[in-house]
Amino acid sequence: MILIATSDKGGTGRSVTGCNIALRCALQGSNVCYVDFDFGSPTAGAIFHVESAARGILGGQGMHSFLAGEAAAPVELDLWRHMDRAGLRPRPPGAGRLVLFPGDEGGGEFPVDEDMTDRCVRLLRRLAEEFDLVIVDLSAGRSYALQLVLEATVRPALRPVLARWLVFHRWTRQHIIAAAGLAYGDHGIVDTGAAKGHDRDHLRDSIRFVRTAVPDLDSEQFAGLVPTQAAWLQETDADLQRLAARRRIGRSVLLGSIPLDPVLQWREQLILESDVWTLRIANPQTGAALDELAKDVMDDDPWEGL
Amino acid sequence: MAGLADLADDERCRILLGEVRTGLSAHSRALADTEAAALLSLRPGVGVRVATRPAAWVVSPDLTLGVHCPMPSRSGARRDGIGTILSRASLTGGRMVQATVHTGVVLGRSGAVDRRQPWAHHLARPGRVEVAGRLRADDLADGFLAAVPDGVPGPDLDLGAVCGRLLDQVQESPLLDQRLPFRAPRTRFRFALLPCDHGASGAAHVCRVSFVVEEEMVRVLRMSGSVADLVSVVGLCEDLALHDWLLTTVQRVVEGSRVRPSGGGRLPHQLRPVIDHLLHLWMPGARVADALLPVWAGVEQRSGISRQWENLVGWIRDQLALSLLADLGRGAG
Repeated sequence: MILIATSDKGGTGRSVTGCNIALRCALQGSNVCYVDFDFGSPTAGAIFHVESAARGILGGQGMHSFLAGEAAAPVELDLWRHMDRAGLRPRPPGAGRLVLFPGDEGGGEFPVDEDMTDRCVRLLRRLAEEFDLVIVDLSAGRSYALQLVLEATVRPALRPVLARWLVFHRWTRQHIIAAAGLAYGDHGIVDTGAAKGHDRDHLRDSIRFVRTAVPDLDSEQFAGLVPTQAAWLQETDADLQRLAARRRIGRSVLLGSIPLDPVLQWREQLILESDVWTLRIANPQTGAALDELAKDVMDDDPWEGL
Repeated sequence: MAGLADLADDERCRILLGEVRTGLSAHSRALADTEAAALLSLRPGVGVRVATRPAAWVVSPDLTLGVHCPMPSRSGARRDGIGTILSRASLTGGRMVQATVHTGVVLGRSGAVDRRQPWAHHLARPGRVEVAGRLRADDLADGFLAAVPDGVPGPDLDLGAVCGRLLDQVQESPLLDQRLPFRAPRTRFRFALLPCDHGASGAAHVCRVSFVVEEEMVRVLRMSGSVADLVSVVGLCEDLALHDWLLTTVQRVVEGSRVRPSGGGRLPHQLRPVIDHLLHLWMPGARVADALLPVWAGVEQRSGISRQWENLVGWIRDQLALSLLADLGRGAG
């Protein structure tokens, strides 16, 4: 299965959440790869604690160079050998493969041509053959990367491969409007996809949303609020729920919510069990939400047609 | 005179380099022979070869590709090679798909003046690359077999890239439905045959075999010997690569299910596709030439892959028996 992660705005935690999903799925036994299509700022290496690929790799063998036809094959990093983090090396027993296809340092956006689409189709089909879960991390917004993936997934060789879309957005008014626009608006995913030959309804049904940095109003974090503050928060949250529903990104298409957690926000790296239970720096709710998301990504039920 | 020159050339072509990549065919079920034949008709007008015993095996015609590029070497000596490499794809048991690329290498003689031959010269010798300038056989083989870190291809002759490309071409065929019963990583099996030090004894023989499982998915086989029919060595390598992949794949699935509690004696669900699609395909040495069977036996003796396989199959059957007993128990209760 190919899971395409995108967001309309930057700073939604798309990459950090995507990497954490990848890790958790691999720990549960799935073979997972993470493909960095965020050509302008490939940061997956940093999130996965791979110093040599922190901002993409040097040497012109990354994803960008491969798609542009400058490299015969893209570099693939076996993360169980490269992650510089205690507890993640070597591969824990029972874990599946976890492989990163890093971007190029100093890459950038580029217009899509026919050859590039061919290379993209060939790569993604091969990965879907070898991995249970292929996470493609796109640049934010209506990027060339988005065009490329929409063009590739409609080709005959990829059409039979299950593709699912995740749109990440923060739990704010502007982010909700932007996320809905990216999915259903002019030149959004459904619009662009339909123009390229995707079935409109089918494509719409394969999009789900993930809310990030969502304040959990029942948590201890908010226990010390004065009554007026608490009331205001409740009311604002209810407003946002109504707005999301009106924009058709309400509960029926919600795959998960990641609570506001300073560790996730500031460290922008993997959250392990040890962060939650031994070091006690991350909230248990964050770990639980990521686990739930990793399960739902692979599960068929949350993706049933509406 | 020309005939004599050719004979001398052939004498010197005693190095073989190649790579096999093995994977699971991108289809929901095993392909029938006729479907496999259609899949592997890679050259119009040239038929595929089909064998049905002891296991279904279909192989494409050889594809020829011209190359002109620096040859790999450990010392960093950059010598150009010009000639052709051969590739073919095959399907075994309707399930396991392989792409193989190989070429014989003729090393330049020291002191000889290298003269650029026209392409017709090379096209008349398919599967042979001639190296201009001096390069030692060991140096060439070491450079070729050296683990490529993280799959980064170099500027040298890259048989692996050709191999991967051919496997992709077969796997993305519209004849395959892309609905694989489970995901299995591809293995890369690189091999080299070097001339034997003991001198030619006449009969084909292979001595000094080393088989190394390098990275998770990379295997390296290095042999010394003198075999006139290089294609038979390619057949041996395909057979070894096939069984190594089978063992690796089943092992991974079993490892995954061993660490998880199976709950009430139920058969771990991951084992089901393995039983359906792979367990019956173990047929070591089926297509290996008699002269090369000792190589199989040697690898077998050291790495014990058949013993490991029997062990795994036994474990899976035990799980099956346990789950059956548990079901019977539930029925009685």
